[in-house]
Amino acid sequence: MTDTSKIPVTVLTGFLGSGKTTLLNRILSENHGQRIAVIENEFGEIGVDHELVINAEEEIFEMNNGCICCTVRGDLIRILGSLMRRRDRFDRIVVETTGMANPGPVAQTFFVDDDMRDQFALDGIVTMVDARHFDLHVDENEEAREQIAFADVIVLNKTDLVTPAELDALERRVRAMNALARVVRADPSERARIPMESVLGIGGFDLSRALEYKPGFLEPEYPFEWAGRYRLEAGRHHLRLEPGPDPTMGLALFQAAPQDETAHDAAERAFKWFSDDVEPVSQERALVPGDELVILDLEPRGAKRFACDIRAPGDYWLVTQHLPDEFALQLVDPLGTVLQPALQQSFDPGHSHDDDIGSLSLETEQPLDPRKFQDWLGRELQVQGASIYRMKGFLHFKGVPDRIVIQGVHMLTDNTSLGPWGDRPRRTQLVFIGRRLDTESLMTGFDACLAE
Amino acid sequence: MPDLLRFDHDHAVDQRAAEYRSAARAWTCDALSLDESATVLVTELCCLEPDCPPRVVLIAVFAPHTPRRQCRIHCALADLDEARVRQAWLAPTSCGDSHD
Repeated sequence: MTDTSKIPVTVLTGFLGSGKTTLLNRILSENHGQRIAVIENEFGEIGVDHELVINAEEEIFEMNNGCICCTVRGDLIRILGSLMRRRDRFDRIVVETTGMANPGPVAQTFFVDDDMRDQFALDGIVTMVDARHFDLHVDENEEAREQIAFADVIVLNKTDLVTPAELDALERRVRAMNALARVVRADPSERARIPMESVLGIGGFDLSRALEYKPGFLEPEYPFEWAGRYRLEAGRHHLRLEPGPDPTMGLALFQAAPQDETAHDAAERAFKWFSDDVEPVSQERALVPGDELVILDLEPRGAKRFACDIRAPGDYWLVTQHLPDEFALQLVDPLGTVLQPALQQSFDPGHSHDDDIGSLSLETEQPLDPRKFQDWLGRELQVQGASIYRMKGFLHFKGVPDRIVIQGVHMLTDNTSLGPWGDRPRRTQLVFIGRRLDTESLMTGFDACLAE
Repeated sequence: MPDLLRFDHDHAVDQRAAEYRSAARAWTCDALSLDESATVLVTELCCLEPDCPPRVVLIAVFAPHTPRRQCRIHCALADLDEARVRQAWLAPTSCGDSHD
């Protein structure tokens, strides 16, 4: 999506106190050789007097009869128009939004019309996250969730204030909300210390990069996060758990199939049990293996120990709703030895705490019919545009030799040719990030776009 | 809405559209006596209003120290002419709601 004739724009978002201004100061003071014009909402000294710093006062501009998903920032349009008359004074623009800003209107401003798209390239939306207070921010504020969902890069900042396990859990939660974003951890010894190339010049997005960083995100989502296969002897075992993020923990403990059964095979078996409505059990009741969901009651908070009676020795799967690390879960044999799984697999959680925000990836090697695709996408954006935060992808059309790249924000889209496919495998990959997406409609409609 | 999806990457079509927008911008500047400090946005959208033509051109003016002005002209960008633009700015009530 990057075009050298366009001015790259980086949008810097993040909740209050997440470290946006610290990162901005780093961007301005690093020796990257670029002259940067800064558009900021929050008043305050930047501390770099040779830079172009402009304060913007938010001016929301609804484009179409109050349609919420076509809302742009009039103040940005004014400033961008003004900056274009001083085009020779800078190489790049950084827009720093307020902590409470919805990134949607800011991002849509760069897609709003052809002239805007001709002059500016949204290089990336960078969202700063306060690792210590992220859960609080996200649980209580829609804007914080939207900032994650819109991001191309998510910087986990203030990492010195959390433990490594907490940081891992945070990254998983963030990835569950936005499967496409690159997640970067700031140096714990210095706030907002990250490689500049991870936030500047990222070129919108790169799906192969997303695949590289999160190889599992195109796999099916399961309502659990982990499965481990254990060799157990007969006798009373115990599951030990420490307090974790939830007052309950769902799990299934069941005998493995006699033949070599993969974790995915086990996951497919366990999948249906996890939708069952069952009552939590306390640690007074001994568990026995079976094809069923068990919800462990972990209230009141404190270390818990659940007996687990194994009647026949053999291989067993333990499938858990949350990652074992989140509860320091251990399976202990009758002699008190902590057992290690012979095989284990983590899964992307379909049950994320942020159930309403998620990603859907559509992929095919068959060429698309451009007309059908255009009609279908137009309809989907019209119906679901308000729910679709970002859309990104590569398109392989029948009869079109070029690789087309598309990205969009809500209802607005931009697409451009990246030139011939060459030796690359021809494949359409399209990803939607949004809230309560009608995934069935998207999948069915997409399938109908295949060329005959 | 949405914006008019096209995947043909036909340079000639893009060029014509740019010329139409440029003309609409110039007619607006003339009609409102705007100088170069104003930013004029010209966007062609699909109209979702019942009983409306399928295309609408939205023109928005962002001039320094002045509230935003905007109007809608219910036709395709290619069908726009100076008279329609002038009329729209002279009688803004005829261009639909302005949100202002």
